[in-house]
Amino acid sequence: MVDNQKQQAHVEASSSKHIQEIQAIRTKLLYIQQQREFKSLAVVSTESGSGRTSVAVDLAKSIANTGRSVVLLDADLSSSSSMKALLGNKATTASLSEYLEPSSQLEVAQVVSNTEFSNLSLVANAKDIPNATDLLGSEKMTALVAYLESNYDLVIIDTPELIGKPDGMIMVNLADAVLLVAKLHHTLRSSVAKGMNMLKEVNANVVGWVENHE
Amino acid sequence: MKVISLQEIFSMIIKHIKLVILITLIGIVAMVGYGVFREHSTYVTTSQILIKLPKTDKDVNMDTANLQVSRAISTSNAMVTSDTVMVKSAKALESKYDYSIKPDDLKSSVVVTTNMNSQLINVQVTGDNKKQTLRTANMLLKQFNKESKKVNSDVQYNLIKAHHVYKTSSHSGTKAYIKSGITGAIIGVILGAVVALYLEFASKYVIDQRDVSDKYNLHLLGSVSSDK
Repeated sequence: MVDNQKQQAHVEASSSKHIQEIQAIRTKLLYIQQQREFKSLAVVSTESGSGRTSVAVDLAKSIANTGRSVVLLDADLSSSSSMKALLGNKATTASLSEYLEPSSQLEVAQVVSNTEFSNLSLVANAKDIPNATDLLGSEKMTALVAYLESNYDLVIIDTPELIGKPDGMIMVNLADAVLLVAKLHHTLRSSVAKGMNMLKEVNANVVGWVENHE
Repeated sequence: MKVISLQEIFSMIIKHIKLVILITLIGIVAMVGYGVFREHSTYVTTSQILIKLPKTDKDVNMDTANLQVSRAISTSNAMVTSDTVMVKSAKALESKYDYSIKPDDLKSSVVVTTNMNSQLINVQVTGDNKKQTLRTANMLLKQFNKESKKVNSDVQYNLIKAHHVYKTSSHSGTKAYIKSGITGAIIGVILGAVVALYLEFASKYVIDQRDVSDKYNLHLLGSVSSDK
Protein backbone atom coordinates (compact mmCIF):
# COMPACT_ATOMS: atom_id res chain seq x y z
CA MET A 1 0.00 0.00 0.00
CA VAL A 2 2.77 2.40 1.02
CA ASP A 3 4.78 1.33 -2.02
CA ASN A 4 1.81 2.06 -4.28
CA GLN A 5 1.44 5.51 -2.75
CA LYS A 6 5.13 6.20 -3.22
CA GLN A 7 4.95 5.01 -6.81
CA GLN A 8 1.91 7.19 -7.42
CA ALA A 9 3.68 10.19 -5.89
CA HIS A 10 6.72 9.51 -8.08
CA VAL A 11 4.57 9.25 -11.22
CA GLU A 12 2.80 12.51 -10.34
CA ALA A 13 6.07 14.30 -9.67
CA SER A 14 7.60 13.02 -12.93
CA SER A 15 4.48 13.94 -14.84
CA SER A 16 4.44 17.42 -13.35
CA LYS A 17 8.11 17.89 -14.24
CA HIS A 18 7.48 16.67 -17.78
CA ILE A 19 4.57 19.09 -18.20
CA GLN A 20 6.76 21.96 -17.04
CA GLU A 21 9.50 20.94 -19.46
CA ILE A 22 7.04 20.86 -22.36
CA GLN A 23 5.56 24.21 -21.29
CA ALA A 24 9.03 25.74 -21.34
CA ILE A 25 9.60 24.47 -24.87
CA ARG A 26 6.13 25.70 -25.89
CA THR A 27 6.87 29.21 -24.65
CA LYS A 28 10.06 29.44 -26.67
CA LEU A 29 8.48 27.86 -29.72
CA LEU A 30 5.51 30.23 -29.73
CA TYR A 31 7.88 33.17 -29.41
CA ILE A 32 9.88 31.93 -32.39
CA GLN A 33 6.64 31.35 -34.33
CA GLN A 34 5.72 34.95 -33.72
CA GLN A 35 9.09 36.10 -34.98
CA ARG A 36 9.38 33.84 -38.01
CA GLU A 37 5.68 33.46 -38.78
CA PHE A 38 5.43 29.78 -39.59
CA LYS A 39 2.24 27.77 -39.72
CA SER A 40 3.59 24.23 -39.98
CA LEU A 41 6.33 22.63 -37.95
CA ALA A 42 7.96 19.32 -38.84
CA VAL A 43 9.22 17.52 -35.74
CA VAL A 44 12.15 15.47 -36.98
CA SER A 45 14.81 13.17 -35.67
CA THR A 46 17.74 11.60 -37.43
CA GLU A 47 16.94 8.10 -36.24
CA SER A 48 14.10 6.19 -34.62
CA GLY A 49 13.65 5.84 -30.89
CA SER A 50 14.60 9.40 -30.09
CA GLY A 51 11.23 10.33 -28.60
CA ARG A 52 10.19 12.46 -31.57
CA THR A 53 6.52 11.38 -31.60
CA SER A 54 6.21 11.90 -27.88
CA VAL A 55 7.59 15.45 -28.17
CA ALA A 56 5.28 16.19 -31.12
CA VAL A 57 2.18 14.95 -29.27
CA ASP A 58 3.00 16.65 -25.97
CA LEU A 59 3.82 19.93 -27.70
CA ALA A 60 0.58 19.79 -29.70
CA LYS A 61 -1.46 19.19 -26.54
CA SER A 62 0.37 21.91 -24.68
CA ILE A 63 -0.08 24.50 -27.43
CA ALA A 64 -3.75 23.53 -27.78
CA ASN A 65 -4.09 24.29 -24.06
CA THR A 66 -3.21 27.90 -24.77
CA GLY A 67 -6.35 28.26 -26.91
CA ARG A 68 -4.62 28.01 -30.27
CA SER A 69 -6.04 25.57 -32.77
CA VAL A 70 -3.53 22.86 -33.43
CA VAL A 71 -3.60 19.90 -35.76
CA LEU A 72 -1.25 17.01 -35.38
CA LEU A 73 -0.32 15.30 -38.63
CA ASP A 74 1.04 11.80 -38.28
CA ALA A 75 3.15 11.53 -41.39
CA ASP A 76 5.16 8.52 -40.34
CA LEU A 77 3.49 6.09 -42.72
CA SER A 78 6.04 3.36 -42.16
CA SER A 79 4.78 2.56 -38.70
CA SER A 80 1.37 2.16 -37.16
CA SER A 81 0.15 5.24 -35.41
CA SER A 82 0.26 5.48 -31.66
CA MET A 83 -1.67 8.73 -31.79
CA LYS A 84 -5.16 7.24 -31.97
CA ALA A 85 -5.24 7.30 -28.21
CA LEU A 86 -5.69 11.05 -28.52
CA LEU A 87 -9.09 10.48 -30.04
CA GLY A 88 -10.53 8.93 -26.91
CA ASN A 89 -14.24 8.40 -27.47
CA LYS A 90 -14.31 10.64 -30.52
CA ALA A 91 -15.27 9.08 -33.82
CA THR A 92 -12.42 8.15 -36.11
CA THR A 93 -12.33 9.50 -39.61
CA ALA A 94 -10.39 8.29 -42.62
CA SER A 95 -6.68 7.81 -42.13
CA LEU A 96 -3.94 9.71 -43.91
CA SER A 97 -2.89 6.67 -45.93
CA GLU A 98 -6.48 6.10 -47.09
CA TYR A 99 -6.72 9.71 -48.18
CA LEU A 100 -3.39 9.60 -50.01
CA GLU A 101 -4.24 6.50 -52.02
CA PRO A 102 -4.48 7.64 -55.66
CA SER A 103 -7.84 5.94 -56.06
CA SER A 104 -9.29 7.60 -52.98
CA GLN A 105 -12.15 10.02 -53.39
CA LEU A 106 -11.85 11.38 -49.85
CA GLU A 107 -11.90 15.12 -49.32
CA VAL A 108 -9.14 16.81 -47.33
CA ALA A 109 -11.45 17.70 -44.49
CA GLN A 110 -12.47 14.09 -44.07
CA VAL A 111 -9.12 13.00 -42.67
CA VAL A 112 -9.11 15.49 -39.83
CA SER A 113 -10.49 14.13 -36.55
CA ASN A 114 -11.31 15.96 -33.39
CA THR A 115 -9.53 14.62 -30.34
CA GLU A 116 -10.67 14.49 -26.74
CA PHE A 117 -8.47 17.55 -26.15
CA SER A 118 -10.05 20.86 -27.00
CA ASN A 119 -8.40 22.81 -29.85
CA LEU A 120 -6.44 19.73 -30.89
CA SER A 121 -7.21 17.86 -34.10
CA LEU A 122 -5.51 14.86 -35.57
CA VAL A 123 -4.70 13.44 -38.96
CA ALA A 124 -3.91 9.87 -38.04
CA ASN A 125 -2.16 7.17 -39.92
CA ALA A 126 -3.82 3.77 -39.98
CA LYS A 127 -1.26 1.25 -41.05
CA ASP A 128 2.16 0.55 -42.46
CA ILE A 129 2.20 1.64 -46.11
CA PRO A 130 4.75 0.12 -48.51
CA ASN A 131 4.74 3.01 -51.03
CA ALA A 132 4.86 5.71 -48.36
CA THR A 133 7.46 7.79 -50.18
CA ASP A 134 5.26 8.13 -53.27
CA LEU A 135 2.20 9.00 -51.21
CA LEU A 136 3.97 11.60 -49.09
CA GLY A 137 5.40 13.24 -52.18
CA SER A 138 2.05 13.40 -53.92
CA GLU A 139 0.02 16.50 -54.78
CA LYS A 140 -2.61 15.32 -52.34
CA MET A 141 -0.17 15.58 -49.47
CA THR A 142 0.82 19.11 -50.47
CA ALA A 143 -2.86 20.00 -50.67
CA LEU A 144 -3.50 18.51 -47.26
CA VAL A 145 -0.72 20.50 -45.60
CA ALA A 146 -1.89 23.68 -47.33
CA TYR A 147 -5.44 23.03 -46.12
CA LEU A 148 -4.31 22.43 -42.56
CA GLU A 149 -2.10 25.54 -42.56
CA SER A 150 -5.00 27.68 -43.64
CA ASN A 151 -7.41 26.25 -41.09
CA TYR A 152 -5.29 25.94 -37.97
CA ASP A 153 -2.96 28.18 -36.01
CA LEU A 154 -0.27 25.53 -36.09
CA VAL A 155 0.26 22.24 -37.91
CA ILE A 156 2.62 19.91 -36.08
CA ILE A 157 3.92 17.16 -38.34
CA ASP A 158 5.37 14.01 -36.86
CA THR A 159 7.77 12.96 -39.60
CA PRO A 160 9.62 9.73 -40.28
CA GLU A 161 13.32 9.74 -39.30
CA LEU A 162 15.59 11.68 -41.67
CA ILE A 163 18.27 9.04 -42.15
CA GLY A 164 17.61 5.94 -44.22
CA LYS A 165 14.51 6.98 -46.15
CA PRO A 166 13.54 10.07 -48.11
CA ASP A 167 10.12 10.32 -46.36
CA GLY A 168 11.38 12.61 -43.61
CA MET A 169 12.91 15.09 -46.03
CA ILE A 170 9.70 15.17 -48.08
CA MET A 171 7.85 16.37 -45.00
CA VAL A 172 10.60 18.84 -44.13
CA ASN A 173 10.13 20.39 -47.58
CA LEU A 174 6.39 20.70 -47.02
CA ALA A 175 6.73 22.34 -43.59
CA ASP A 176 7.56 25.98 -42.87
CA ALA A 177 9.82 25.14 -39.95
CA VAL A 178 11.67 22.22 -38.47
CA LEU A 179 12.25 21.15 -34.88
CA LEU A 180 14.95 18.55 -34.30
CA VAL A 181 14.65 16.02 -31.47
CA ALA A 182 17.73 14.12 -30.27
CA LYS A 183 17.96 11.66 -27.45
CA LEU A 184 21.03 11.76 -25.25
CA HIS A 185 23.17 8.61 -25.29
CA HIS A 186 21.02 7.24 -28.10
CA THR A 187 21.25 9.56 -31.09
CA LEU A 188 24.55 9.22 -32.92
CA ARG A 189 26.67 12.33 -33.35
CA SER A 190 27.38 11.20 -36.91
CA SER A 191 23.68 10.90 -37.74
CA VAL A 192 23.02 14.39 -36.36
CA ALA A 193 25.83 15.67 -38.59
CA LYS A 194 24.34 13.89 -41.58
CA GLY A 195 20.81 15.08 -40.75
CA MET A 196 21.93 18.67 -40.28
CA ASN A 197 23.69 18.56 -43.65
CA MET A 198 20.52 17.30 -45.29
CA LEU A 199 18.50 20.09 -43.68
CA LYS A 200 21.09 22.66 -44.73
CA GLU A 201 21.02 21.44 -48.32
CA VAL A 202 17.30 22.19 -48.60
CA ASN A 203 17.62 25.46 -46.63
CA ALA A 204 15.26 24.14 -43.97
CA ASN A 205 14.13 26.66 -41.40
CA VAL A 206 15.38 24.82 -38.31
CA VAL A 207 13.97 26.70 -35.33
CA GLY A 208 15.85 24.73 -32.72
CA TRP A 209 16.18 21.37 -31.11
CA VAL A 210 14.84 19.47 -28.12
CA GLU A 211 17.03 17.32 -25.96
CA ASN A 212 15.36 14.12 -24.86
CA HIS A 213 16.88 12.26 -21.93
CA GLU A 214 16.13 9.26 -19.75
CA MET B 1 39.55 24.90 -33.09
CA LYS B 2 36.95 24.63 -30.37
CA VAL B 3 38.02 26.09 -27.03
CA ILE B 4 36.74 24.39 -23.92
CA SER B 5 36.67 26.29 -20.67
CA LEU B 6 37.72 24.85 -17.34
CA GLN B 7 34.12 25.15 -16.21
CA GLU B 8 33.02 22.95 -19.11
CA ILE B 9 35.70 20.39 -18.29
CA PHE B 10 34.59 20.45 -14.67
CA SER B 11 30.95 19.97 -15.64
CA MET B 12 31.93 17.02 -17.87
CA ILE B 13 33.69 15.42 -14.91
CA ILE B 14 30.74 16.15 -12.61
CA LYS B 15 28.47 14.37 -15.09
CA HIS B 16 30.46 11.21 -14.47
CA ILE B 17 30.88 11.84 -10.75
CA LYS B 18 29.73 8.33 -9.81
CA LEU B 19 32.37 6.83 -12.06
CA VAL B 20 35.03 9.17 -10.67
CA ILE B 21 34.07 8.23 -7.11
CA LEU B 22 34.15 4.53 -8.01
CA ILE B 23 37.62 4.80 -9.57
CA THR B 24 38.81 6.83 -6.58
CA LEU B 25 37.59 4.14 -4.20
CA ILE B 26 39.27 1.47 -6.31
CA GLY B 27 42.46 3.56 -6.22
CA ILE B 28 42.33 3.80 -2.42
CA VAL B 29 41.67 0.08 -1.98
CA ALA B 30 44.36 -0.83 -4.51
CA MET B 31 47.03 1.36 -2.92
CA VAL B 32 46.25 0.25 0.64
CA GLY B 33 46.09 -3.34 -0.57
CA TYR B 34 49.43 -2.95 -2.31
CA GLY B 35 50.87 -1.54 0.92
CA VAL B 36 49.67 -4.56 2.88
CA PHE B 37 50.90 -6.96 0.18
CA ARG B 38 54.27 -5.25 0.05
CA GLU B 39 54.79 -5.78 3.75
CA HIS B 40 57.45 -8.41 4.16
CA SER B 41 59.44 -10.00 6.92
CA THR B 42 62.90 -8.78 7.69
CA TYR B 43 65.70 -10.74 9.31
CA VAL B 44 68.17 -9.50 11.86
CA THR B 45 71.39 -11.13 13.00
CA THR B 46 74.24 -9.95 15.17
CA SER B 47 77.91 -10.83 15.06
CA GLN B 48 80.37 -9.54 17.62
CA ILE B 49 83.96 -8.41 17.77
CA LEU B 50 85.90 -8.66 21.00
CA ILE B 51 88.83 -6.28 21.13
CA LYS B 52 91.90 -7.39 22.99
CA LEU B 53 94.79 -5.04 23.52
CA PRO B 54 98.32 -6.45 23.82
CA LYS B 55 99.76 -6.81 27.29
CA THR B 56 101.47 -3.64 28.41
CA ASP B 57 104.00 -2.69 31.06
CA LYS B 58 102.92 -2.57 34.62
CA ASP B 59 103.79 1.14 34.67
CA VAL B 60 100.90 2.00 32.41
CA ASN B 61 98.17 3.41 34.55
CA MET B 62 94.49 2.59 34.34
CA ASP B 63 93.48 5.80 32.54
CA THR B 64 95.96 5.21 29.77
CA ALA B 65 94.78 1.63 29.39
CA ASN B 66 91.14 2.75 29.20
CA LEU B 67 92.04 5.37 26.64
CA GLN B 68 93.76 2.75 24.50
CA VAL B 69 90.71 0.46 24.66
CA SER B 70 88.39 3.33 23.87
CA ARG B 71 90.46 4.30 20.84
CA ALA B 72 90.64 0.72 19.64
CA ILE B 73 86.85 0.40 19.91
CA SER B 74 86.24 3.67 18.06
CA THR B 75 88.67 2.70 15.33
CA SER B 76 87.14 -0.74 14.94
CA ASN B 77 83.69 0.75 15.02
CA ALA B 78 84.50 3.05 12.14
CA MET B 79 86.32 0.35 10.28
CA VAL B 80 83.38 -2.08 10.22
CA THR B 81 81.32 0.43 8.25
CA SER B 82 84.21 1.79 6.24
CA ASP B 83 83.88 1.97 2.46
CA THR B 84 86.73 -0.48 2.02
CA VAL B 85 85.07 -3.14 4.14
CA MET B 86 81.75 -2.54 2.44
CA VAL B 87 83.11 -2.70 -1.10
CA LYS B 88 85.16 -5.81 -0.39
CA SER B 89 82.30 -7.51 1.46
CA ALA B 90 79.91 -6.77 -1.42
CA LYS B 91 82.39 -8.17 -3.93
CA ALA B 92 83.04 -11.26 -1.80
CA LEU B 93 79.32 -11.90 -1.32
CA GLU B 94 78.77 -11.72 -5.06
CA SER B 95 81.69 -13.95 -5.98
CA LYS B 96 81.17 -16.51 -3.24
CA TYR B 97 77.40 -16.64 -2.87
CA ASP B 98 76.27 -14.98 -6.09
CA TYR B 99 74.49 -12.41 -3.92
CA SER B 100 74.56 -9.00 -5.49
CA ILE B 101 74.30 -6.00 -3.20
CA LYS B 102 75.54 -2.46 -3.60
CA PRO B 103 78.08 -1.27 -1.00
CA ASP B 104 75.78 1.62 -0.08
CA ASP B 105 72.85 -0.71 0.47
CA LEU B 106 75.08 -2.98 2.48
CA LYS B 107 76.16 -0.05 4.64
CA SER B 108 72.60 0.97 5.30
CA SER B 109 71.77 -2.55 6.47
CA VAL B 110 74.50 -2.50 9.11
CA VAL B 111 74.26 -0.99 12.59
CA VAL B 112 77.33 -1.04 14.82
CA THR B 113 76.98 -0.59 18.56
CA THR B 114 79.30 -1.00 21.49
CA ASN B 115 78.49 -2.49 24.84
CA MET B 116 79.07 -0.16 27.74
CA ASN B 117 82.00 -1.08 29.95
CA SER B 118 83.04 -3.86 27.66
CA GLN B 119 85.34 -4.42 24.75
CA LEU B 120 82.60 -5.87 22.59
CA ILE B 121 81.31 -4.40 19.35
CA ASN B 122 77.97 -5.60 18.03
CA VAL B 123 77.52 -5.69 14.28
CA GLN B 124 73.82 -5.97 13.53
CA VAL B 125 72.81 -6.77 9.96
CA THR B 126 69.28 -6.50 8.63
CA GLY B 127 68.09 -8.16 5.44
CA ASP B 128 65.06 -9.61 3.75
CA ASN B 129 66.55 -13.06 3.28
CA LYS B 130 67.47 -15.26 6.19
CA LYS B 131 70.48 -17.00 4.66
CA GLN B 132 71.87 -13.92 2.97
CA THR B 133 71.57 -11.89 6.16
CA LEU B 134 73.62 -14.44 8.02
CA ARG B 135 76.21 -14.64 5.25
CA THR B 136 76.45 -10.88 5.07
CA ALA B 137 77.07 -10.54 8.80
CA ASN B 138 79.84 -13.11 8.75
CA MET B 139 81.37 -11.75 5.54
CA LEU B 140 81.55 -8.30 7.09
CA LEU B 141 83.34 -9.78 10.06
CA LYS B 142 85.80 -11.56 7.81
CA GLN B 143 86.58 -8.49 5.71
CA PHE B 144 86.85 -6.33 8.81
CA ASN B 145 89.38 -8.77 10.26
CA LYS B 146 91.50 -8.64 7.10
CA GLU B 147 91.46 -4.86 6.87
CA SER B 148 92.00 -4.17 10.54
CA LYS B 149 95.12 -6.27 10.59
CA LYS B 150 96.61 -4.10 7.89
CA VAL B 151 95.95 -0.99 9.92
CA ASN B 152 96.56 -1.99 13.47
CA SER B 153 98.43 -5.21 13.97
CA ASP B 154 98.84 -4.64 17.72
CA VAL B 155 95.17 -5.10 18.51
CA GLN B 156 93.76 -8.56 18.53
CA TYR B 157 90.22 -9.34 17.58
CA ASN B 158 88.16 -12.29 18.61
CA LEU B 159 85.38 -12.70 16.13
CA ILE B 160 82.10 -14.13 17.31
CA LYS B 161 80.21 -15.21 14.23
CA ALA B 162 76.51 -14.75 13.83
CA HIS B 163 74.58 -18.00 14.19
CA HIS B 164 71.01 -17.02 14.77
CA VAL B 165 68.77 -14.97 12.59
CA TYR B 166 65.65 -13.40 14.02
CA LYS B 167 62.60 -12.72 11.98
CA THR B 168 60.91 -9.39 12.49
CA SER B 169 57.75 -8.13 10.84
CA SER B 170 57.93 -4.79 9.13
CA HIS B 171 54.47 -3.48 9.86
CA SER B 172 53.75 -0.35 7.86
CA GLY B 173 51.58 1.28 10.50
CA THR B 174 48.42 3.33 10.29
CA LYS B 175 50.21 6.43 9.00
CA ALA B 176 51.62 4.47 6.09
CA TYR B 177 48.18 3.10 5.28
CA ILE B 178 46.70 6.61 5.39
CA LYS B 179 49.48 7.84 3.13
CA SER B 180 48.84 4.99 0.69
CA GLY B 181 45.11 5.73 0.83
CA ILE B 182 45.65 9.41 0.07
CA THR B 183 48.00 8.53 -2.79
CA GLY B 184 45.41 6.08 -4.13
CA ALA B 185 42.69 8.71 -3.83
CA ILE B 186 44.73 11.28 -5.75
CA ILE B 187 45.59 8.77 -8.47
CA GLY B 188 41.95 7.61 -8.53
CA VAL B 189 40.56 11.13 -8.90
CA ILE B 190 43.00 11.94 -11.72
CA LEU B 191 42.32 8.63 -13.47
CA GLY B 192 38.56 9.03 -12.96
CA ALA B 193 38.67 12.52 -14.45
CA VAL B 194 40.67 11.26 -17.43
CA VAL B 195 38.18 8.41 -17.98
CA ALA B 196 35.23 10.81 -17.62
CA LEU B 197 36.73 13.21 -20.19
CA TYR B 198 37.54 10.30 -22.48
CA LEU B 199 33.93 9.13 -22.32
CA GLU B 200 32.78 12.65 -23.10
CA PHE B 201 35.05 13.20 -26.07
CA ALA B 202 35.18 9.68 -27.46
CA SER B 203 31.45 8.93 -27.29
CA LYS B 204 29.78 8.36 -30.62
CA TYR B 205 26.45 9.49 -29.16
CA VAL B 206 25.03 12.90 -28.45
CA ILE B 207 25.76 13.28 -24.77
CA ASP B 208 24.89 16.88 -24.06
CA GLN B 209 23.65 20.09 -25.62
CA ARG B 210 27.12 21.14 -26.78
CA ASP B 211 27.05 18.32 -29.33
CA VAL B 212 24.20 19.99 -31.19
CA SER B 213 23.86 23.58 -29.93
CA ASP B 214 27.52 24.55 -30.26
CA LYS B 215 28.40 22.43 -33.24
CA TYR B 216 25.46 23.48 -35.44
CA ASN B 217 24.68 26.79 -33.78
CA LEU B 218 21.19 25.48 -33.08
CA HIS B 219 19.06 26.91 -30.32
CA LEU B 220 18.08 24.43 -27.61
CA LEU B 221 14.40 24.92 -26.88
CA GLY B 222 14.45 22.63 -23.88
CA SER B 223 15.00 19.25 -22.36
CA VAL B 224 12.34 16.63 -21.84
CA SER B 225 12.52 13.52 -19.80
CA SER B 226 11.40 10.25 -21.37
CA ASP B 227 10.29 9.18 -17.90
CA LYS B 228 6.89 10.86 -17.73
